[in-house]
Amino acid sequence: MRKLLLLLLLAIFVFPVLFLFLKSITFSWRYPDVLPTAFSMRAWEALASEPQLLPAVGMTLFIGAVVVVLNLLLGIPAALALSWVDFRGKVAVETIFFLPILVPVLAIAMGLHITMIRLGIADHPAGVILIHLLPTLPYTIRVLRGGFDRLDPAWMQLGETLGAGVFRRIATIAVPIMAPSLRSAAVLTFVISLSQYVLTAIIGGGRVTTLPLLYYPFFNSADQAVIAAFSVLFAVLPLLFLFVWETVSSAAGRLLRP
Amino acid sequence: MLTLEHIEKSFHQETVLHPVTLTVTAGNILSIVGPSGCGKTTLLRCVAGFLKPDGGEMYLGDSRLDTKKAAERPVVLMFQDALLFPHLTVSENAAYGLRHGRRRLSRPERKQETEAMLSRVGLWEKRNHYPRELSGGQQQRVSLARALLLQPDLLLLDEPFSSLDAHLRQELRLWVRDFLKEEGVTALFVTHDREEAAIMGDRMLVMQRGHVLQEGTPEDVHKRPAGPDVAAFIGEGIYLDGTYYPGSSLEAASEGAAAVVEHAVYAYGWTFYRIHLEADGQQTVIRSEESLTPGQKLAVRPKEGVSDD
Repeated sequence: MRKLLLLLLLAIFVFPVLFLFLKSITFSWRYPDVLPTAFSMRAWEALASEPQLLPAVGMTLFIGAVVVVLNLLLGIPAALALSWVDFRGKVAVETIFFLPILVPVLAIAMGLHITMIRLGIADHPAGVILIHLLPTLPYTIRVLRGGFDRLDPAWMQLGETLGAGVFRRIATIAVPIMAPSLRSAAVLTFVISLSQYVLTAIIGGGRVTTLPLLYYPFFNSADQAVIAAFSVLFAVLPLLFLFVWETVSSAAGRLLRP
Repeated sequence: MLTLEHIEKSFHQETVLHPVTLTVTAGNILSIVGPSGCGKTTLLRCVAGFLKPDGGEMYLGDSRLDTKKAAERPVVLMFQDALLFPHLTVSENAAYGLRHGRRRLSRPERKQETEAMLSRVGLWEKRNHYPRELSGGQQQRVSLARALLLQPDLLLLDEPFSSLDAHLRQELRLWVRDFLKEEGVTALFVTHDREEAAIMGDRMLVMQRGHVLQEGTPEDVHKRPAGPDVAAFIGEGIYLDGTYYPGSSLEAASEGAAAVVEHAVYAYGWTFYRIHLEADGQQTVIRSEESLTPGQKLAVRPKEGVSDD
């Protein structure tokens, strides 16, 4: 039973990625052949020779990272209040925080675009970062709220009575206990930001070039190997993000262990 | 020595603590006992520094306590739950205060003291386990080790056994009491259980509705309650015509104060009966040779020639 489950998991999650990778390094792979007959790095070379690609990867990572940071900065106080504080109109506030998900984001973006033009942040990464908060922040607040629900405030008081200052209490009690929620929120935010096409296109006005903006034109090319290579690149970025996140957080955790 | 002078506290115009004055001499344990809502936990949180009293002063030894922040007071509060940090092992939990708290030690010193303390609380073998692998009683012992490693001048305990089952509670409180006495810890122990208060405290203090009703040794409070309120809370004796009679000096008789049997209590090979007076509901426990049934009416009177000691 467990083996069957494992096989199923492999088939659903690992096979497509492997397949894509295999596809990206084949020279030709046509109908009757079960396995590719010839391999080449042609697709990757084509991708690498695309002059816009590296700047686009850089811009995507930059926007993604800033969006993650802003999400945490804005999401943590909101989630903290929703979880720990009792106040009138809490349900209303919660609903309002979730509204951007319920209302078609395109409708909001069109209106915001005009405002952003007036403010002078349209066609600029700042505007794109701001608009990426729309489809990400509601999820961040949700996820972090769950994290605060699990963080008993008494733990923090205990740290206080043991003599730890406020920053130490946050770093050694709150952050480790909330680590799974923080990681989920950050990765989710990063992936959502990474996949934005329409919002980036409208607000960025084609001047802010992120990976999806290059990806769609590539899809029009008939070369499947190139598309596969691009898709692999796309799939690798969140894994890279997760890897960096885990490395940094586990190093920090080790440093602060009593 | 801990001295509280006229500590008072209100929440939303409701007075929770009328000026409370008390002292705990060094190395002694004072139990504060009272029904829930009597202000005992509020008092404890004021001493810990989590609540700011509206008035009064606190001293620990010669230094003023209430002007310091909670983290800076040489005082540790133990909560109802052990509250071990789930992401740290037993020894890391115990060492928390030595790494991040008030008493920071070098790594080798930390390791040495933590292991010695864990041996003393009998959990050295569990030092690399995580809290979820421990029983409730073991968790409280780790929590105690974590508190005592800081060598606090005062330990505050807020019903630390209330989340344990009855058997374990009985066992652990005797163990904790002996341990605290061995270490010479000055402690303030809060509970709603008068039996626990008597076991844990060198002295006990009875509180009700924010007032201190009586302070004395457990024997004083049980044998010479300061008034009907204390007698009613302790539930060991009653006032008849203004004189206090412990249950042991009362007997069922053909005439006397009218009373009703509530239920039987079997303890230490005897059968006791909890009764209440029909007139004013005062409760006590008497021993009777003849068998009584709940709801049965009877009369009680003081035994002749028996002093209350």
